[in-house]
Amino acid sequence: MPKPPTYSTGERLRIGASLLPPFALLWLACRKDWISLDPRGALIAMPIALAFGFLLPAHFAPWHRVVEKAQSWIGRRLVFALLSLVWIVVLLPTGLVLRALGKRFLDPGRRESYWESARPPGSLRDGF
Amino acid sequence: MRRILGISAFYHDSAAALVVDGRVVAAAQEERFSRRKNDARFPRRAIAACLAQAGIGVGDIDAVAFHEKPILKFSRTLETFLALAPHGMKAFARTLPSWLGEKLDLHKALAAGLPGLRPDVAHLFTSHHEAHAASAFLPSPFERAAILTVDGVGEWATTVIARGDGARIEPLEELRFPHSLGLLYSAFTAYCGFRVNSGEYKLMGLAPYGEPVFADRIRDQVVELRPDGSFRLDLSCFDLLADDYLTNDRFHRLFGGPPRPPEGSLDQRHMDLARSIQVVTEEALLGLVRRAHERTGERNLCLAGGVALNCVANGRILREGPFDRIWIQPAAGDAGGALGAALAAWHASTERGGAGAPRSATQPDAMSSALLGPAWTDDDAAAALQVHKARFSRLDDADLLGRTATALDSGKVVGWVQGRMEFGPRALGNRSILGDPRSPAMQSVMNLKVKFRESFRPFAPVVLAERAHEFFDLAAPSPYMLLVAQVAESQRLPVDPTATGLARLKQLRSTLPAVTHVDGSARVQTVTAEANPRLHALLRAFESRTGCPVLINTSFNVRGEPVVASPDDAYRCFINSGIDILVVGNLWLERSEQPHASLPGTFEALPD
Repeated sequence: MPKPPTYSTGERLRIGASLLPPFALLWLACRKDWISLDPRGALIAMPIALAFGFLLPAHFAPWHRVVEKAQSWIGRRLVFALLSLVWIVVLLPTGLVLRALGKRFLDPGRRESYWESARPPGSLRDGF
Repeated sequence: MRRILGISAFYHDSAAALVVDGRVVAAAQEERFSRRKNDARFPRRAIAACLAQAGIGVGDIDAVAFHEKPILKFSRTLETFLALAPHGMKAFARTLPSWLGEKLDLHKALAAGLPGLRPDVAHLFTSHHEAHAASAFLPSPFERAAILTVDGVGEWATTVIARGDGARIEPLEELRFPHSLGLLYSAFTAYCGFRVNSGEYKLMGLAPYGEPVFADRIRDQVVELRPDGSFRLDLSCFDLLADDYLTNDRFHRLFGGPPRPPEGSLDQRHMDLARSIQVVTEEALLGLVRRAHERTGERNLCLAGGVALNCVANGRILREGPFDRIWIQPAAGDAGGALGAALAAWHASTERGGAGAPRSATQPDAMSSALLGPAWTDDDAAAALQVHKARFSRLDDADLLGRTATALDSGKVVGWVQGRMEFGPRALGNRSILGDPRSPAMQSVMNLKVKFRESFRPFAPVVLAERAHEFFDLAAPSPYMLLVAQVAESQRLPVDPTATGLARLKQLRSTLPAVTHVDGSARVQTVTAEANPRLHALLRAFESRTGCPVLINTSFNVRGEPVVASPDDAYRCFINSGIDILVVGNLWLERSEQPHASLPGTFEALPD
């Protein structure tokens, strides 16, 4: 018979915390009057949900996995958007300016020889 | 006592190597343990295997050497994006997250991957090609040599010429990214439908079926080869930002169509492309070798880098190049970088007296026949087999060798697991599948029924070193299966010269048809009693029975699977493939007696 899974305190806390986002959204909706309920109800429900998740982790583990996947999906897209912005603001103009100044990083142009003097070995302690 | 752990990781073929007081004690690739081919993850299992081999723990390590300079490599990545602007936004956003984690902050990655490492342990970084050069020269049998390292790319360098003298390696000149023979070959590999970083040897195997009809086009429009051995790629043919294919529409127009999809049909055009890029690669490598000779004036050459696994080109370098002797690191690809980094760190260490201190070259080399991985005792193996309720018998040496030779002579395919696992991509007789090379049907049987791979793929012969000259025109020993030579004229049979493409496969080409490629060549492994006594004894037993001192030697795995490591891996592969007999140490297993028709595999099959 398979042994039931055991959960560390950290895992229990994470599973409990994964129950909070719906109540946080509910609180926000109440505060903005999108839903006509008292926002304090959502605030009170949050520690209760946390306690349930902590005490009954096996019951809420599937929900926790869904929340984790959603977080990861949102995180990847946020990072993609942020890095795209960095590229537009920093790399694109810098690259275009350098190209206008005649800097060619990758193409040495036609030459008699493409050999370059080898870079002398640096210190083994340096990562550069 | 100084124990240095070398690591290569995070790109492909991650590996670990352990050097104790300058001696290579252990080395292994992560894929053999994780069962994920070309595994790039931190090699924690390979590290554990290396430490176990030496009987030490993480806390006993004195230094950790990584095979690259991460910040230099990151700067090259950024400069590439700058150079390619206004293109590359998506690739930048897709690529950078991996850099912002373990790739760039290697100190953190090493600390996380090596729990228990002493805080005073130095984290050392060689450059990528320094590691390759060290892996090529420091274990070689030469006191002095020219060194040539050629691969896809490291930090900036793609090709380096250096001089090795004693323990000192002096880099002389280099070619820089993106002008890379490795990338060029990989571009054609991907274009022909094979997986980059693992399918290159398939392209090499496909080449003899074709004609070099595209070679002039490659020279004129894709790569400019200069008389001094240097070269430059025409970047208008490449898409350096692509994930899958490295080529663009211009390249596809040049070579007559879109890339072949993986598993798509192979036609004459693909064979001609394979032959053409092979011819150009050989020309480029010969140019590099001549330049290395000019610059160094040395008589010996050491080779490493992924391109040094092109054994057809290596054979030409030996025959046509200016060097008297060549030595090629058996783990020439990135896995060997772990070994090179550890050796470089040892030879530079102050305990040793620094890189200026003398080094004595070891004969025939300091690689222990590349048998640097873990071994299992017969008792360990028996315990692993009993888990599967396998039926086996324990034989003495003489009986085992006699029975194996008889089985091979009767056309049986034998899985052969002995002693320590090989380090590097080749199975050299300790994790091998063996067969009878005299059988005309054996190539097809082993390709299709045993290894489940493409019918065009050739098999390699392993031969008693003392009789190699009778069967192969080999100018030097080839202990690591890294040289291709022609089958000796005396063994060749007449063939129909009008046959083309895969039709040539059906022709009987020599007295060793299963290991003679369609162009009459063979990728030879020579074995001495000193290098691998067990395999040598088996070849002797087969020779006594048949008069033939040659066997087929192919890696013990099926398509998409890493070479087996443990007896458990070997048994699963044995059961799931068409292997007739399995020999693990002195344990003898016959397929017909086993209780299973199949077993769940433990590897993650990858498309190739």
